[in-house]
Amino acid sequence: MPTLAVIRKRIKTVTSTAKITKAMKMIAAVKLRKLQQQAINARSYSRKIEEMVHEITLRTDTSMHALMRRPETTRKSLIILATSDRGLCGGFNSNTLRMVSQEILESKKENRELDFITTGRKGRDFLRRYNISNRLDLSGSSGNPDYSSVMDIAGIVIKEFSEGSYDEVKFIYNKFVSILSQKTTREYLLPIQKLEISEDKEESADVKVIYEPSLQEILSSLLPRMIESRIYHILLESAASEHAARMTAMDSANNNAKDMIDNLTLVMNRARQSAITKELMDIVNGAEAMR
Amino acid sequence: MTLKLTIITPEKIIIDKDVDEVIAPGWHGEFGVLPGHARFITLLNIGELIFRSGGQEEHLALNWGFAEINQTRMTVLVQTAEFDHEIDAKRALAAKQRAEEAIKGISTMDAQYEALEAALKRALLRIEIYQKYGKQK
Repeated sequence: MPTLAVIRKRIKTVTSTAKITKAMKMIAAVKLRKLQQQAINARSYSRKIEEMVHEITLRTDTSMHALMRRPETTRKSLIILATSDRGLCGGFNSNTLRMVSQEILESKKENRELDFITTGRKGRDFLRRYNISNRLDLSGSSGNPDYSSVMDIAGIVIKEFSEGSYDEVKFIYNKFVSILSQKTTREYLLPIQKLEISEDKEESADVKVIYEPSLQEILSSLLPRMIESRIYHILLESAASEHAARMTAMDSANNNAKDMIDNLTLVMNRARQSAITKELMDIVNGAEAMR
Repeated sequence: MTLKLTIITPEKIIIDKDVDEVIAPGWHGEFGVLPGHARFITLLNIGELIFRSGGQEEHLALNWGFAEINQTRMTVLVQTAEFDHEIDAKRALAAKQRAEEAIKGISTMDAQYEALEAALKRALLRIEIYQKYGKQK
């Protein structure tokens, strides 16, 4: 059995670890709340834009536009990989990176090239470790995405997809389902998928609307904005998932620490009690011998 | 009948309330919107948006966007929008100087010319709005 002093020291270290995990959990909770608000704000913008694009696609032949291109074969894809900068967030990064490995295997089988854009240090380090080229690295702001990095990504995506360098653009990220669950997801950004708009919007298609300067021009300036807002949305969602994952991970770490302290306290009390018993026995034995 | 004005940027909803009249910087110049306007979708220029409600007038600097208008609603989607009292005049002045410097060196055919011109326009607009209204507050 370990000595009393060793156990006391151990309890002390576990207690201070518990303090750290608790603080981290609370920080993550605050950041998550802030991000949720941001995500709600961003949603009304992106929904409105998608609505407008949808309305316009009902009225005009959109196949002319480069961003509406639908390649027949996929020879090269661009993956936007959203991971976190820091660890201590449970399976957040490992799940994402597992999906990346899967994607790499699939691409080899299908004979298609891959390019990456990473946000977050973990994704970048992963690619570096396996010597995979990385188009653009935006690590450093995973927990708090800003619009300027969105513009950087969107710039590349829009230009190179229109020019035909990429045939598809996908996200690999953690979708925020709830605080307790985040789902690692692969999602298309381009080619543009069918927009999900509720049915009752459809009938307005025959009302006469004035467009300035013209439908085509409005569409060509709407589409890039739509792509930007989707990217922003995904980055926000990934950040929210990161904080939620960290919150849960830190919460269970904190609980484990508490359990450990309880067990150790029990062991410590037992050790102390047996030390006392031993001493008592010594005294009694000593007294017995004196007689 | 009132007109519900909603101005949304990717980061937040700037305003969402009933107003009497809006004047916006349309693609072909300024246009006014009153309740009961025909269905209308337009690109917006860098410019000043004015709205009136209950005798009060407010001014915003808009940076590129578009507007969807129907009988009772006007929805404006923009990259950024600032109220006159939110404008940072020093920053706008610095941006103006920077843009002027940069634009001198390049020809009008350069790919960057348009972006720089837009930056210059934005800075000028902010300065103008600030000088017109910002100081009073």
